[in-house]
Amino acid sequence: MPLLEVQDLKKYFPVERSLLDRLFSRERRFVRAVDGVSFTLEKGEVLALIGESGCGKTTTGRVVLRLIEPTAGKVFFNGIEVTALSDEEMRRLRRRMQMIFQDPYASLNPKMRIGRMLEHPLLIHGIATKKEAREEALRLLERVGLTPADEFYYRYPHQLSGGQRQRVAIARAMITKPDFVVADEPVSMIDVSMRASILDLLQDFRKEYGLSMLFITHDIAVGRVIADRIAVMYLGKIVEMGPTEEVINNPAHPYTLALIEAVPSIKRRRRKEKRRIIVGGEVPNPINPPSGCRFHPRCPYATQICAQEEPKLGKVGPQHYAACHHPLRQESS
Amino acid sequence: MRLLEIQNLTVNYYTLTGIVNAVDRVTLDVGKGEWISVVGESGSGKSTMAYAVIGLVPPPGRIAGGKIVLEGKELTSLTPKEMRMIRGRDIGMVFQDPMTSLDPLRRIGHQVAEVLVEHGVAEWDEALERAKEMLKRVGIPEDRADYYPHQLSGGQRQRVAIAIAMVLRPKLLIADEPTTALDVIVQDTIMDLMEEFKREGTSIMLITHDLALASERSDRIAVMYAGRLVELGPVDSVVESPAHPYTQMLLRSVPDLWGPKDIKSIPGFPPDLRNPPSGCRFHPRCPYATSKCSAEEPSMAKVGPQHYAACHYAEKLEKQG
Repeated sequence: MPLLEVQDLKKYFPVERSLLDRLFSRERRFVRAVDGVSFTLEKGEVLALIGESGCGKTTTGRVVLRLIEPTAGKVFFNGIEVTALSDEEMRRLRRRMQMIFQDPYASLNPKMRIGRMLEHPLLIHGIATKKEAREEALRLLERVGLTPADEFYYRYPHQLSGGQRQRVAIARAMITKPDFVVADEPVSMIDVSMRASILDLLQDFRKEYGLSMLFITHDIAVGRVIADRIAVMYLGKIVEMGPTEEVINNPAHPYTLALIEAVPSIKRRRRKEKRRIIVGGEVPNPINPPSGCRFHPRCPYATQICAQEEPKLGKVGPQHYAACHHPLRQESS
Repeated sequence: MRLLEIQNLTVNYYTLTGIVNAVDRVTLDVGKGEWISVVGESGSGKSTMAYAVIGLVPPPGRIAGGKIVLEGKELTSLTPKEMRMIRGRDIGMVFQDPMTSLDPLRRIGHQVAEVLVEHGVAEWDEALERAKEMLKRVGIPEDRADYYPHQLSGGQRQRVAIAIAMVLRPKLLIADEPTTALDVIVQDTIMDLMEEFKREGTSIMLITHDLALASERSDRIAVMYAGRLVELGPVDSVVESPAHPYTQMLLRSVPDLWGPKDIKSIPGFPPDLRNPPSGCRFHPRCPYATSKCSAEEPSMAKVGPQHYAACHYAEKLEKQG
């Protein structure tokens, strides 16, 4: 049994109706941020959810943790249906499912000392006594490299740099020894020279706790460093999913290929002269997504069927799936 | 003669808590039709340097020393009015957030046309026609000239900003993190557009934190650290045989889709520029630092053809690495 199983998850946000819309009682419209997403995550596994802004990756992470309620679909954690739990039951499960946010300037309470912030989850979940919580907080500070720990314990967030704050956020998420964490762009606001150390830290916790992680990022090169598998999202749907190196070296969906080709690379800096795919335009409006395959208006390989029929995720290789009528690779048997 | 010569440029911010030495005696030049990328992390001084070139260092910042020479003309001694004529006509500028240069309340066609009118190049009727052509040139369909900025996507807004910067065909386009807020596929098309202008003879100075982005289209790369220029050279030479330990470590710290997976952070933090470290500003974070590094400031020395680095041990390190 996988640790996490997500089945056909949907999240639609209602669009604010204008006065005219109301006067003419026009139909309420929805942004289909997440529109039928399914995946599983094994114990100790890291899945990177990759896509451009507006693809639904962040919403997916939040719905999985029920920070926002899904419109439809189910989430199972260790066989427990998370989406069916009461608020009280959900609250008790929180210590095992944690979140690390993108912006360490916004995610830490500015009025709370670092030490109290770390102890807080242990105390509200009744995991530890005050004394134990303090010891654990100091141990975690040491662990994430904020030393001397007893000094950082008494500091406020504004006294720390961005990289140090993100270490606090990681320590806070790890202090309850969760089985699963959603990390939403945890390094995108950190200076480039310090990103590696944050990724290392997450890797260490993964080894130490057998942690599973949903790692959300727009940067496929960052995802590659940490993930066992990659899922690429486009307009609310997963269009490709597979083992990290497989997806990068043999992408099956034209969108994945376009994304990979567009990522700047020092190693392949001269490749622009022989680009394998060029896509036009920009991501369309998720209120009225295109018919059939949502990528078809931008896809150089699109045919009639692509505009009519929505492709399902089909197998294109070992553990490798793509939702495309004309995948760039087929399963060879 | 080089198109732009920055000589010993120093820019300070005179803040209430002290003088921040944001750019320290930087010497850099840009050739005609050359694409140079200035790479550095936040606080490296790369943006401040760019703002100094166009005469727009925000207060409490001020140019404290050095010269900026554009085609033989010294810019730092010009009046604000003269500088206004240089901007747009001789130097175009594009910023990270296009909304800082676009007026949200005016149609984009008007905003492009205004540059022509302000510089006395055309009357409104003709200017509007030429604005439409320019918008088409950057990939905005003519019928959108009547759009307001909010009706466009982020990528399209940046195209409009480029149209405004380029409509007078300046010799130099300075782009400060023009694609940092955009998705990679859009970023790629914006870079394509800049490259087209380069092919037509425009010199480009790209300011970016992204070494990989810089490596793909530039002729030369300049690396800045804590207000100092630490390395300068042709792209291949800088990324394949970096001579400064900071450049070497920066290259190992960024994940590359086609490079090794085990990336390494640079230990420590960039210094507080109110009180920069003595000697080489990188010495507190440098694994090779000796007592000489904290005592003596290294100057830029030649390490290869057109390739310079400011490190006491650059030559030795380069041979090793």
